[in-house]
Amino acid sequence: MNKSRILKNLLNSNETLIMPDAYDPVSAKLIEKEQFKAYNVLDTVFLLQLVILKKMILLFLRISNGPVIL
Amino acid sequence: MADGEDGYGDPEKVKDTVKKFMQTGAAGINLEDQIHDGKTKISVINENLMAQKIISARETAELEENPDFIINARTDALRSTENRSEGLKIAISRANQYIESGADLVFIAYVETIDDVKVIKQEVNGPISIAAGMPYNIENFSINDLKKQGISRISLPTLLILSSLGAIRKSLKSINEDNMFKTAKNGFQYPVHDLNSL
Repeated sequence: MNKSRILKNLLNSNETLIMPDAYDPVSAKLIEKEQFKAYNVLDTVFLLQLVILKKMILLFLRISNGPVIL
Repeated sequence: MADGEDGYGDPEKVKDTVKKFMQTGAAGINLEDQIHDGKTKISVINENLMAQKIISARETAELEENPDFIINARTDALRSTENRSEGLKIAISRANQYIESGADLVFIAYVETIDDVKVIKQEVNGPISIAAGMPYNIENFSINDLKKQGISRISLPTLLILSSLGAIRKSLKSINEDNMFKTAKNGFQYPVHDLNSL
């Protein structure tokens, strides 16, 4: 059974599905370890994946006032 | 399932986004009608355009032979007007349109009270997703309150990330106060041996 079918079955059951939001792979593993049946991936994760390294460094520099060692 | 923002473009672009999400192995996508224009006030796209995006997403899932791919349609309409009850009416109307367009469930963002939840449950003709543990509702209702209302899905968008940031702040303060070891001993650090066994 694929994951979409599993999720659909969970949503269509009579029980409320609690889906914490993971913000990185480790938080996803923790959610899984704590026996939650499903989780959501926050949009920030996708932004991190999509943003190339140079843009990421520029973002750090833009939001941080402290001296940053690269 | 994963956040898909506004689908990253028009209904045609949504097809490509859905394909890419399916390729990653995601079980579903959250599509939202909020316009990201950097302004403080929340605005939403035309409801028919959003409906078209949902139709595109559904068609793509079927064409790609993954008809069970979950489409969770989010509306931010509740905060798109100054008048909250008017916003709620618009959000409910949109939620019903999104369900009719092929969404598996609808997520009305910015629900603050259990009374809002009751109205939504009564008026929306399909499965409902509610965000709990948010700064604006964390003290107003519990997981069990939502279960009692028959809510299909509860998301917890900010709970874990804000809890993590809170722990980071505690650790940083403990360094400045020179009680780092005491803080660590008190158990809010995640045990390394548990981390290695994940």
